[in-house]
Amino acid sequence: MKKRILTILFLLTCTAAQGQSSVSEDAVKAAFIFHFIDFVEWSDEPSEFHICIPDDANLRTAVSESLEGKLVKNKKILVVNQSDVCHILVSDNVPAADQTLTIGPLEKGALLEFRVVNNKLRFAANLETIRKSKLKISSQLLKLAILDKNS
Amino acid sequence: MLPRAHYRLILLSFLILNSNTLAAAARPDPTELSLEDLLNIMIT
Repeated sequence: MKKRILTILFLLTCTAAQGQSSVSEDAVKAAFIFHFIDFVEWSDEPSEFHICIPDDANLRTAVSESLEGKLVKNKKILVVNQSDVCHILVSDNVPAADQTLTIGPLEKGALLEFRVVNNKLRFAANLETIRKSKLKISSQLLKLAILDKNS
Repeated sequence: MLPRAHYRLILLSFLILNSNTLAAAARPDPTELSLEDLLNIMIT
């Protein structure tokens, strides 16, 4: 009996220890999105930031939980499925919107794209599309980005 | 039956491994990390 309890405790510990060395992709994406707001200027600075994530319910939940109650630029963050105004849109379908920081496939016109490189999350940027948008994205942010070959 | 010393060793290992778990729980959430740090986090 004692042996069985010890075995169960050991297995539980191994499971817990496994999760320590890394963080979920969605949690890291949420943190990136949080920081992106600091490095982007919208021409009409909003009273609260709307982050729209229509395609990925898991990511939406992770971002919502991660950013709940946090302020950025002293403003609230609202994570929604869809909205009339999206300051940040994370989607595979990228609409033409020059006041939205679009995160999705660069080849579909998004400004930024998340990429997994060697089990680490990076982000790529298309400078040409960024120039055409009405957003000002800090060079501090762009110097950390993978620059798209077409930009 | 394992000798008593083995049980102690297993219990000690359990405590050491769990101290790491507690340390992980005390780790700041990813939004508190800088962009540079986020770029170096291993993801699952």
